[in-house]
Amino acid sequence: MHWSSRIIMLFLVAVLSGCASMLGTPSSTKHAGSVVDYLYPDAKAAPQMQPEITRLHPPVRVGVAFVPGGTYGEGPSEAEKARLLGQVKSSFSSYGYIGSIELIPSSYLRARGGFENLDQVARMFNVEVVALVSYDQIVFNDTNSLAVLYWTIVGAYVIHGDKYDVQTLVDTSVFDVGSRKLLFRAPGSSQIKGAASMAGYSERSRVAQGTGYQKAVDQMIPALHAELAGFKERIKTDAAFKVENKAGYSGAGDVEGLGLAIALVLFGLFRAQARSR
Amino acid sequence: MRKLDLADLRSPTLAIAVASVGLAALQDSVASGLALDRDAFAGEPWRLWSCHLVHYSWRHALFDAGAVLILGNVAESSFGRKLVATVLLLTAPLLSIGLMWWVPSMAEYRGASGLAALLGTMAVAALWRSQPQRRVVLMCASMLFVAKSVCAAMHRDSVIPLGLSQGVLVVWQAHALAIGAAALVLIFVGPAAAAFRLMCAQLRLCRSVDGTTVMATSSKHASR
Repeated sequence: MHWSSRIIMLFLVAVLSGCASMLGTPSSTKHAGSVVDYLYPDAKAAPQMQPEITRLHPPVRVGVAFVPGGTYGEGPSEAEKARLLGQVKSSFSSYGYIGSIELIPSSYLRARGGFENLDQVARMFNVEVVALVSYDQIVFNDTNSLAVLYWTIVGAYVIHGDKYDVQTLVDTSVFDVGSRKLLFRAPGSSQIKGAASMAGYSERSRVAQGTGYQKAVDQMIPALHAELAGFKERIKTDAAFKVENKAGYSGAGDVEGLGLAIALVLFGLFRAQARSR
Repeated sequence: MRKLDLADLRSPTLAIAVASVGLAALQDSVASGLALDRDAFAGEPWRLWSCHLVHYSWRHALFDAGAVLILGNVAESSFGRKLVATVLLLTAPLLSIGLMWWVPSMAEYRGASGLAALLGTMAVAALWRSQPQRRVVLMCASMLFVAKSVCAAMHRDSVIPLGLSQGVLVVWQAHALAIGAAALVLIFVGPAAAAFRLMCAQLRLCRSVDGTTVMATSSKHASR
């Protein structure tokens, strides 16, 4: 074989083997911030809850936070978290028994911090109830048959040979910090599938992850509204809860619309009597 | 067209309504200085009266002032301005003291609805007596208000702010105390006043109920 043919053969082997290595086995990436891992980091047995009455003092001060992930920078970005927490906050703000709502940055929560960390944060932000938003997102990556065209080099930029499947689960668990009791929870989930070229996969996948969080939160918000409305009714009948006035609250004597309407009825009766005389 | 009678402007309930709306226009710091809190028992006794004139918002002030004005008109026409003014003057601090005793966790109180409930009870009593054919309507109106208060107390809606400022809760106890106070006024003060007038009439002193005159003439009678 001529020496030039050998060089070409070696070049092709090197290049094609590189391309072939692009068609690797399917992979997946997981980002998770688990509320169980955060609150019960070293639990080997189920936590023993003492049967006690949870005392609520409306208007309840609520803190809203994302559960910290296992490693720094995992999961949604801080800006994205703030935007999603804003949506959760607005769900709470439409209920009269909820007072102030604080957004707690993730940096204030320590991974696997447990209730001790939650107590510290609750004291720092002066909240009685904390809504913890946990997340679990898995990104599956597969290649399809078109990926073979990546061998053409140009195909790596044009052909959508990489598939992604982003499955997201978000969950808001609302805890009373004092009694450490779970008051209610509301879940939301989403699945986003798509394909991208090898060159554009990273960006597309990242956008899909952000969209996955958004869609899951969008699904969670109505569930959260339903739970909040249900909880408002439940505390009136459930013996495990006792609603008490907050010490040092401000009181108002207010006749409200019904009182004013009754006053007008009485005045109407009085005027009718005066006219008949 | 009916001329404006200056006597109409001497109404105690009109004064309360105007003061309520006027104070709502002032800064919140003024209202804070007039609201009911523990300072009322620590050298600031005016708070026992003034708390019924200050409010948390325009809506709060207008609703309360409207109710006081409407119900006050009926009560004054039925019982007379002097009696209504006296009852309001004496009952206002008693309501405040009663609230501080009944709701010790409350740090501050504002609102004229206690006085409105007092006047409303007096108005219902007057109409009950003068309009026996409409007692069903009066019964329904009274039951509606009582049912609203009972629901608020039983279902804890009272601790939920209803369009008031953040953290301000409706105190249904003010209405309950006012209704109780009005009942006491109607049961005891009415007959007592009638008995006093009767005594004066017997002594031929019914033209004047001035204390000095009564005492002087009584001593004259005694000397005889």
